[in-house]
Amino acid sequence: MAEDDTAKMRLWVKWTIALVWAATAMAVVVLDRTHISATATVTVHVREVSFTTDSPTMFDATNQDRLSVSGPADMTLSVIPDEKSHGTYTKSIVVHAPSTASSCTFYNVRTGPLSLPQQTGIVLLWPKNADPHSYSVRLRGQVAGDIYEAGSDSAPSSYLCTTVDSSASLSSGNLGGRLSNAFATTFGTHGDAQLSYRVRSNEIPGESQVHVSGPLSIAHTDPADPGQEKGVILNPISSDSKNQIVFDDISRTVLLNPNDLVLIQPGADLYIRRFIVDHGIQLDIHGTVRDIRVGAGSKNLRSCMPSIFDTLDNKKRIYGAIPGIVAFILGLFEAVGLLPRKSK
Amino acid sequence: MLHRRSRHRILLGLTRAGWPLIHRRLLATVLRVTLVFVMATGVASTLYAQLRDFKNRIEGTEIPHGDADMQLLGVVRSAIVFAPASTLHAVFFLPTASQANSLIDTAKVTIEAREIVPTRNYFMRSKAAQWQLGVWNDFGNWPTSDVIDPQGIQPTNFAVSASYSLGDGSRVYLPVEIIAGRQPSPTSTYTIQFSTAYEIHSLDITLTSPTGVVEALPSAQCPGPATCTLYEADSSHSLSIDMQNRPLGVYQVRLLGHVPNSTFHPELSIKIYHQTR
Repeated sequence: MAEDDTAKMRLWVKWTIALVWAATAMAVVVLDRTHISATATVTVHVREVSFTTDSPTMFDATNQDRLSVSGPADMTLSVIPDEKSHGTYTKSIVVHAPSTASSCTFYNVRTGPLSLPQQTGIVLLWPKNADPHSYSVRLRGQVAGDIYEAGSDSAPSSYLCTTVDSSASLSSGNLGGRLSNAFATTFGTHGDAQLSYRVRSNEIPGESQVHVSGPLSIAHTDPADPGQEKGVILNPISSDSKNQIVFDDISRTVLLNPNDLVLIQPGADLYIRRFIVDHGIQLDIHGTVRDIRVGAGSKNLRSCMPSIFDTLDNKKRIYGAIPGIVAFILGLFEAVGLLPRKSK
Repeated sequence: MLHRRSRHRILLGLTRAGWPLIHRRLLATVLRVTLVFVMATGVASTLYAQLRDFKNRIEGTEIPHGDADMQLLGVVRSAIVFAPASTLHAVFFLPTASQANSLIDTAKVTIEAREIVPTRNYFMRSKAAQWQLGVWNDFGNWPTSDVIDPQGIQPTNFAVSASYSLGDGSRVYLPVEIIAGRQPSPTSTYTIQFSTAYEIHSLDITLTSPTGVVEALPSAQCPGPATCTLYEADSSHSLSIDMQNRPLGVYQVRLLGHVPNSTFHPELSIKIYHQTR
């Protein structure tokens, strides 16, 4: 009878050990495969980045050597009067572009902030065949802005519009002249537009605190409809900087290959903390991310998010501290005599 | 009174009656976990080629690869105007072999559409069809509700080209008119939509007639010094060519760009068949 109980006991112990092993293995697999939101800092030097923002404005007032607006749907130019407008003097010319293939370029001007609609898809682009501090912004959504005369005698503020309809001409075509400081030139774009900036040579263009409200893609793609992406990461401009993703909670760093594609699903508080344009676009992104996928191609994207297992593993020091805290409290109780004495 | 081992088996759900319940729960759990993983990896699987197959065309979003110095986007006869929920028709004239002075394979006629400023990477290409030589052809139906409306493509950001391929791989473009519930316009002013990868200070435009006469058209030029930029790098533009009172036939249009501070000249050379209505 005793031998029978021992055998049952052994069988029970065997099953218990097997179940504990199986449950632990399953828990590790599940925890290792489950990713949760995390705080990340992404620093990367790129040629192109696309994202969606709900920021109402973008870009501070800046002096520009040149600004090109493609597809101005509604533009009122403040011009120095000349006789080109139906033979009469005029201080303002209304310009309308029939398509986004028409554009107006402004030289030696100061630009105000861009007004954006509620959700705007944005592609920031550094043209590789342009000036190191030139950049373009492709916008999905109607945007508006102001342009001010900021020229000098040697470099006056001027404008040149190509293939546009205007109040200064009966037929569509090119239009050029000098801007006046009488009032601001205003523009609004069609639903899609491109703005190309070249800031004054002594300034480095950039922007800070841009809220990212939709997927952010570091690849040649567009904000909402990813397709067959191409890599756009550039080598870091200095030896001090690296193209990397740092998960702040677990101090884990993921280095990025220049040919990688990166796709970020933002959390509620992801911001482009700052970007500057200097031989590319240097991005500093920080905040909560729901997922970050990195890969060699669009079908090779893998999540590099820390798993729950990584997060728990990173907190092992806390688990080690618990016995220490308990021992400290027990010692404190023993010292003040709160613990019952050992009976003799 | 149950045996101790039986009680354990009931607690663990291992009785014969319990197995189906366990199976169902296990299956449901496995399905849930699988679903979670599929959804978690679903973001990556959205990165597929998004061209959809329709009866007369493929249409969707596709990244245009390649960095041509200058790239043709479209050749149109009139401004593209359409409202949402329209059915588009692309109308173009396909010449006979004698009119075009070359053999024309109707199987190599293609209509393409894309965005001027690529914000959504829209792309459409027609499938092979029974095109007629020497007459005006109509590509359609092309409902905007399939892709254009859902993607939010604006008519002001729309470039369309129709062309046929020659034996040497070059193409002859057929100025196309997009019609959505209105009559074709009789205009003979063609708009050429193109993009440039380089900054352009000035653009020389030459037109070579079917008889080989070369004509320099008014060039587009930045009014400032040679460092002044007319067109930005990586931007799209258009120019209009008035073909009224010109003889019918295949013309060659050559765009030659002058880059500020550079001796490099990006170039775009295309053939256009001119036909009046």
